[in-house]
This record gives sequence, structure tokens and C-alpha cells, in this order.
Amino acid sequence: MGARLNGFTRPARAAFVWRVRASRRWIEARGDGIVLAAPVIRLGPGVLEAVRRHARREYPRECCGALVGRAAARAGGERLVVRALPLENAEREAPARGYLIPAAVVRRAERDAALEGLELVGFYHSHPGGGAEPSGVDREKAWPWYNYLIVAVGDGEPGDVRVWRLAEDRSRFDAVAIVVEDEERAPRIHGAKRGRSRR
Amino acid sequence: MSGLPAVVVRIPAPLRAYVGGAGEVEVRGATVGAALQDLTARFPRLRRHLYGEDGRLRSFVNIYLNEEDVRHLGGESAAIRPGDALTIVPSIAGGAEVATGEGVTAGPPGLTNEEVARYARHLVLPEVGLEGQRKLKAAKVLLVGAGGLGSPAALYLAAAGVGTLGLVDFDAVDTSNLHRQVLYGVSDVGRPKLEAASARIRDVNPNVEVVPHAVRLTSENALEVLEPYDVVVDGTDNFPTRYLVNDACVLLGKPNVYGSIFRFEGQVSVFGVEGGPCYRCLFREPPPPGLVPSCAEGGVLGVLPGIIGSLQALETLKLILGQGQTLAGRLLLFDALTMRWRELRLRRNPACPVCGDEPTIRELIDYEAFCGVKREREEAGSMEEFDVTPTWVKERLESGEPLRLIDVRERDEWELVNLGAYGAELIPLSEFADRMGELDATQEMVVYCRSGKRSGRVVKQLREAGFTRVWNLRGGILGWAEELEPGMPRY
Repeated sequence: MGARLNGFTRPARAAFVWRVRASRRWIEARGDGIVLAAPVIRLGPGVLEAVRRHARREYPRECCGALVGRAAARAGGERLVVRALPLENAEREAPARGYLIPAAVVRRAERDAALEGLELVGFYHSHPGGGAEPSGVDREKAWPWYNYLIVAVGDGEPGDVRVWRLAEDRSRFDAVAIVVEDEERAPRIHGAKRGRSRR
Repeated sequence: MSGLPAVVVRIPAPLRAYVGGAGEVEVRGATVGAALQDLTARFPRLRRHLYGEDGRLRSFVNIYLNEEDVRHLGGESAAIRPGDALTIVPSIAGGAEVATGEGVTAGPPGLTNEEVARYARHLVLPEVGLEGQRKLKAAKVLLVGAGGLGSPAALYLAAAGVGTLGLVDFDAVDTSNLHRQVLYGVSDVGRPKLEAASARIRDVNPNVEVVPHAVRLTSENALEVLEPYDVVVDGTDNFPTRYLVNDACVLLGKPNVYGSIFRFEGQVSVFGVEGGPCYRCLFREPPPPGLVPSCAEGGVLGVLPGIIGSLQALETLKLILGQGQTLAGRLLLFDALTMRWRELRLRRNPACPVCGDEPTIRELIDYEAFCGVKREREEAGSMEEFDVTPTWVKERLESGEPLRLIDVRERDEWELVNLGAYGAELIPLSEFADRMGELDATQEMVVYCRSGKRSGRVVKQLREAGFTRVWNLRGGILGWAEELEPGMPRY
């Protein structure tokens, strides 16, 4: 019988301590104990098209709106967007270089979404003549947790789309992976697979 | 504090993580400002999101007292009555202005839906994440050799999402490969390795682009083949190619993930990294040919290449991701029998002919000559004059002519398959010197081994010792099986 400590043999205790320390390091690495959401956002059918349409319509002004959906519906903090809700750009001075969704509008949109059992999981806006990366102003005025979808619009035609989340310390934005749930594309993939296996 | 009115603060979704996930928090304070101070005192991590560096509420943070924006009620000095509710309401703003990309984690190609699902366990690791996965997708890795080491390395690198995998190999799959080269199966025997490997890798991960290089790597083509890749994984089984890969990597400035195996032992390291050593710093010159047997001669335990090749794949991922400490400057030694790992410190040799301060090798050389392989082959050629064919031997034996047949392989090889039915005797090479007395120089003798290589050396030495009637069975027992008895087991 080896030496027993709290009912463990020495090696078992060492292995247990090692596992606990590894877990603790992992929790620390996630930053201040906040659960780090896996950076994934699912865009339901038509969401991306609606955002692009809105961006094209408002060009050369910035368009903006809310992403309505469900948060934390799945493990790992994956967010789902059911629809894009176009909102008026309340930025009066320079609507080509900025956007504003006033608190009252956010509040109303939040309540409307709640009636359907949904919530606002983020917002979108366009960068006319710019890239899909957030600007310094975007970061300065950003909230944590929300997903910020940015669509680049060059020459009136919407192009690159990226989604971003503010880092815990506000120092930067982290990219969020976009999963597009497209009704039309899924059957095409299935068709291609069937075609191959027949050969 | 207990005398102050209690007020409920409704927390918006983006800030709930900072108050333990609650939608509402009860605080105390006579004014809106005091209540918010109490809130941030209790939940300090809220502070940086609500207040700017100047200590004032951020412009996009809106506070409602019951249903009214406090800006219309005198701001933070607005008084609170018991039972009031405060609501934090976000307004959302930003702009394209100065879209510098500063403070942004950007990177190479994006991921498709299928890829996000496939790499989900990678994406939750902060050390990999979306950015790391995109780096892997953009990365190009060359595997030199698609054998024992290349098999696990290729499978794991493909599974992990390395975008482009180059494979250098010109062999076909042999049955004797299957005990360790897990890229291949029975149905692949006889197929070119690259063809079978490409199909298998595509099955593991169709997002990976496989680039086959069905060539023998030479001084003429090595730089061209290696040039497009970010990392080179050395899974070669011979010294000329190993020195060639090392020198080419140093000349091109590419990391070289080295692995080698023999019987029960393996080695791993990373060469060719800025400031780190190269293979020549470790082994300046190759061993004399024939001293270190190949895996075909010495054997190798089946799982061992799986361990070493997997470590090479792991080091490759770390190099691409820029995470952790690689084996650059360290040689990892593994002994499977004792199950022990050892680590040796390696230093760059300033006098190294390739990566030293004053390199003397500035272009690729003739590596077969450097490793003495050509000389050995020429010598082997000169032995052919004492070769006899299996058919000749069999006819002589069957016609009853006196001919001694001597097997110089080791005992366990004899157990596998032998020519005992033709009267062959076993004198293993390891016992040969002691048993020379059993031989008669006047007798006619044929010596054989597995492939004719070892017995060829024996015949040469016997001839030099005055045995004028000793012959070598060309192709060894393998040649015998091929020419006369296809049903015989081969190894």
C-alpha cells in the first residue's frame, strides 16, 4: 500500500492536481473568468441579402440596422441571426461617414424582438468606399458582446462582409466566423455529392 | 448604506456577463450618479464600458429612470425614490471615418460554413481561434517522403486544416509498407503512393489541396520543389536526401521539421529556424555507408513512426500558428522499449558549412557522392561477377551435384522462410567469424541472404580469403521467390 493522501495514492493525487491546474490555466486564459464565446455567428436565409440591399439603397450614405435573433442558443455562445432589421441612420451631420442608432430606437427594437421571443444580438452598418474592417470610431463607440457586421460598399456595389466583436479590454476587435444558412445552397451541395458517388 | 433607497438597475444583454449573467441588479443610492457608482463598485469590470477615461459616462451609454432618459431629468444628479428602476440602454454608433484597420485582427482567407463546423474544436482554443485557423488554411507544407513518418504527418496536417500539402515520393505501395504506413490499405498495393495518398487525404479533408511531386528529390530540382512551401517535413529514409533537404531548407530559409526512426527509437527536432541549428550542425558528415542499416534491413516497430510522424505534424502546426516553443535547438529522443524521452540541447555551429557564419556550401552539391552511396553502388556492381541465378542453383541441386547452400541471415529471419528443403544450412552473419572453420575452400558453395546484399559482402570477403568456388545467390531469397516460387512468403 503506497502512502495515501486524502484517499488518493501519491501519483493519483499528482495527476489530479495537474488536471486541476490545467483547468485553472484554461479559465484564466479566457480572460477574467468570463466565458469566452466561440466566435461564430449564423446568418439565417436572406439576412445577408437584406443587408446588402439596404447598403446599396443608402449609398453613398452609411446604412445601419439591427441583427435580430437568439444569443447563447447553443453551447459555446454561438449566435443566430433570424433577420436583419433596417433602421434609420440618425447621424445628421455626416451620414456618409458615420451612423447612429439612438437609444430609444434600440429600446423599441429590443421590445419588438422580445415579443417574438428574440433579442438583438448585434448591429450592421456599411462603409461606403471603405473596407469591411472596423474603424477607430467603431471601436471607440462599441459595446462588448454585440456582433458588429460591416459591409464594404465600393462604387455603390456591396462587397466584402465581416463580423466583429469587441475584445474584453476594448483594445481591439476580434473577427467572428460567419456561417450563412442559405436555403438554396444546401440542396446543391447534396446534389453534387450524389453525382460524384454514382460515378 | 442601508438608509439609502434601493433601486433596480436593468442590465442590457451586452453587459450581463459582467454582473454574473443577471438581467437586473439591486443597488443603493440617493441619485442616479450614486446608484451607478454603487453598481460599478460592486462590479468593477463594468466600469470601463460605462465610463470613458475622463471618468464621465460614455456618450453612447444612456440611462433611463423608469421610462425617462435621465438627460431630461437633470442627468446623474437626478434623485431616486424607493422602488424606482434604472435601465441602461445602448445607443449604437460608429463610422467609416479613418478605417485604418488599426486594432483589428485581420488575416488571410476566410472560412466556409463547413470549415467552421469542421474546425470547431480548434476555434475555441484561444491559441488557434479563427485567426490561427485561417493561417493554417493559407499555409503550404511539403512532406518529403510519404512513408512511415509522412503517413501520420499527412493525415494529421490534412485533418487540422493545412490548406496545401505537397508530397514528394516516387514509390509504389508495397505489402511490407502496410504495418506502419497508415495512409495505405490492401487495395492500394501496387499503386503509386502519391495516387493512393492523394485519394486518402481528400477523403479526410476535401478542403486540402494536395500537390503531388512524383520525383526523386535531387540537387537539380530540390530548390524548385521546396520554394513554394512554408514548412518542410523531412520523412526521408536515406542520408543523401536528408542532407539534401537540410541544405535546401537552409539555403531557402525554410524551417525543416526533422524526424527519424530506427527499430525501437526515434528522434525529432526542428532545423533551419532563424538562429537555430541545422542537421549538419548535429551530424556534420554522414556515417560510412552500410554502417547504419535501413529500416528494411534493421526493421522498425509499427507504432513508432506514428508517434514520431505525429510529433512532426504537431511541430509544423506550432510553426504555422506561431504558438508555444518548438523543438528548434532541442533534439528529442524517444526509446519505445523503455518508454523514455530524452532531450538534448543543440546549438548552431558557427563553423557549420551550410548555416555557419562563413558557409562553404552555397549551392546544392552531389549528395550521393557526399554520402558515399555511389562508391558503394560501384562496389556492389563489381560483386556481380560472383552472382548466380536462382534457376542455375536449383538445377544444380536437383541434378545432385555437390553444392553447399548457406544462409547468412539471422535466426528469426530463417524462422520466417528458408531454403532448408534444398539442404540449406544456417550460419548467421553474427556468428560467421566464429564458424568459418565449418567451411571448406575446395567445396562449391552458394551463399544467400534476404536480398543478396549481405551475402554479396560475405562472398567478396571469402573470395579474398581464398575461397575460389563460392557464389552469391542473386536477389537472395526474395529473388528465389520471384523467379521460382511465387507462393513463398516475402518480408
